[in-house]
Amino acid sequence: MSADSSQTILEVDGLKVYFPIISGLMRKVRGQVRAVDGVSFDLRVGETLALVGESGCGKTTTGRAILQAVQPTGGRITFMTREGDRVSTISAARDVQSIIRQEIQLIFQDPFASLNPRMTIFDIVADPLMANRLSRGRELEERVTEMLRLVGLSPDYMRRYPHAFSGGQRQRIGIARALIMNPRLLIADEPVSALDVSVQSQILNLMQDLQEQLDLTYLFISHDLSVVQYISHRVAVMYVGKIVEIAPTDDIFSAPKHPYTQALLSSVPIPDPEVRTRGGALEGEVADPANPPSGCYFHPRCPMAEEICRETEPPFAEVSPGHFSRCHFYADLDLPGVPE
Amino acid sequence: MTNDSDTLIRVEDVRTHFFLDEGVVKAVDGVSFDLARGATLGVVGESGCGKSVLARTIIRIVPRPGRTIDGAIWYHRPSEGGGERPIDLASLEADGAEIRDIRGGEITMIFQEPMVSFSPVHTIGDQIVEAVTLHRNATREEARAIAVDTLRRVGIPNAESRIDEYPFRLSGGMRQRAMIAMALSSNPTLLMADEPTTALDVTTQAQILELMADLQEEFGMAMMLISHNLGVVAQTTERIIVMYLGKVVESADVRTLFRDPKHPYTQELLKSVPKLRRRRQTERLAAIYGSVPSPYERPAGCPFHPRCPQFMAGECDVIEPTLKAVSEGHSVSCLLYSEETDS
Repeated sequence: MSADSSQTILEVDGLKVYFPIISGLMRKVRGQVRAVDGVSFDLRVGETLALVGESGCGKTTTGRAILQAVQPTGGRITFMTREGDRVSTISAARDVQSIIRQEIQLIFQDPFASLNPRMTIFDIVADPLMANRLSRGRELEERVTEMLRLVGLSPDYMRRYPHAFSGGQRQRIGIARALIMNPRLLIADEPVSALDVSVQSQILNLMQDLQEQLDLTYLFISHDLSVVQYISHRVAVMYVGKIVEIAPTDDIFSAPKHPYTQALLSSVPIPDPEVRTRGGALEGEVADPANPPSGCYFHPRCPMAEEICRETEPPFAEVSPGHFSRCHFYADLDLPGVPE
Repeated sequence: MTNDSDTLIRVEDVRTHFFLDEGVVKAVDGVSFDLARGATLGVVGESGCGKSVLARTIIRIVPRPGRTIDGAIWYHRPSEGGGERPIDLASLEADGAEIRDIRGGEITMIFQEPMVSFSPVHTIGDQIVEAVTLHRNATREEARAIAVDTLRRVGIPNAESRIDEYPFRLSGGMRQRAMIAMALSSNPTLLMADEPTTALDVTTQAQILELMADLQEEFGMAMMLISHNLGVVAQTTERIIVMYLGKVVESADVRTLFRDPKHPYTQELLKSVPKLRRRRQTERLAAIYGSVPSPYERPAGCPFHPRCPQFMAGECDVIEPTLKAVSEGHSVSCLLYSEETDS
């Protein structure tokens, strides 16, 4: 893979996104939902980092903060532009913002909801260029044609409307729309979750091909560990607003160093009747990010929790180069990972 | 194989079609299978294969403009004397007394989205009590006791007080547990679950699947689990039928289906599932060519032929294969296997 460790494209440092809980006649702030609570990671050019976790863990909000769709409460997001400038996405000037918005694009989850049914495929894919007045006429049409070919669609269909296309084809249209701005970083939020299995692999293969051809960097947000394993170079596991473990993909799957990662791995139903997945089920439910438990947020569900876990929040410790875990017992953990 | 006295449901060549302005959608088109008492059956397929309509056909809740136009659904209904009496569910009035007695009582169903399946303006308890009083000879007090008991058995903590909560007060996992409790409270002979864990997180999914397996053993009812997720059916069912565009393309016990799939669609489907491994796989994922065709443009011959890697021109696009046994308990609907069995 073309991941070049020397070149960083994005640095997220201590990102916090809190949402106020407002209630009552006086619209008083009663508390805060800590959707993202001190998330840090960096992304290297050409790599795929997966953000995984269950609903409400803050993975989508992290992606939205990078896209500036939500205002962070704290922390820094630094982006390296094509020209090589280090810019802060939160405080950048207007002209820099427009560069960032071209270079970071989004692929949506639901290809049935994310395409305007009243627009033709041409209008949908051309929209980012037209909105930014970057191209028109012949040139625009050529560009759309090129994008459709790139994602494996016939340009003959560009005057048609989304309803004429299947889920997989619609997701290709969504990818073409994201690529037309010539981006360098793509945030893909559950891009294959709404697709059938047989089509899901087509889109995953396409995303890998495009990454190699165009040297793209992906932040791949997903709850599906089997998909994540296939597509990503590194994996960050989130739980209640924090990254609890981040490591190269093979380490996460064969030698996880956080009990929550292990619980996620043991919970995936394996498509093989002769390998039983039962017994890995966690007790209880995900903690409430408005009212998180003391100490380690995972301790009420953790099979290994001890007194210290209830009292002290564990540090984000380096287990081995590039492998970090937020568990007091990371050094002693011998977790099996995916069964042999 | 099941002998006759074990059979709970025998579905024979059932067809449920939707009559729309744009044309006729053959959602279920000639499906046959047997389900034994206390057995578990997985129904697998991609969107539009007819798996959900099949379940709705059995309990006669197919929405308009859909109609079951052909076939029989023999339900071996336990009678009071202890014996049983086969009745054809397909021939009953969809809103007649007999099917209403069976539906929600002897045959219950749980759906994908528990928030939509519960009424938001009644408490969980009221909804379960209503189901119990309707289908079991119980007073409201007895029904409430049954409801609390079942809620406890599906693992809802403080069932005595949670029973008076409204559905929105429960988390997704708890709501699905309450839904299961409602489906079990009438002591069904068959529980049908349509994507029961698809809307849930993985750790919650694992809890619910484990719960369903335990309860199935405890209550001894038959279970029909509909899912697009091959992992879920592999872990919870004994037999599997694979559907494609309204037809059963393969039917086998779960081990045979995963070890020795015969139909090219089943083979491709199994190959295209990304599997959890200890090491990242570097080879490309297998993908099935194309996508499921529009229900209005159903291919002639074998419905899978435009996507099939083993397509035989002049045969697969002309002759419609039928389900034939390739070995004991293993049937396939594919021309590749038809000659062996014909001769």
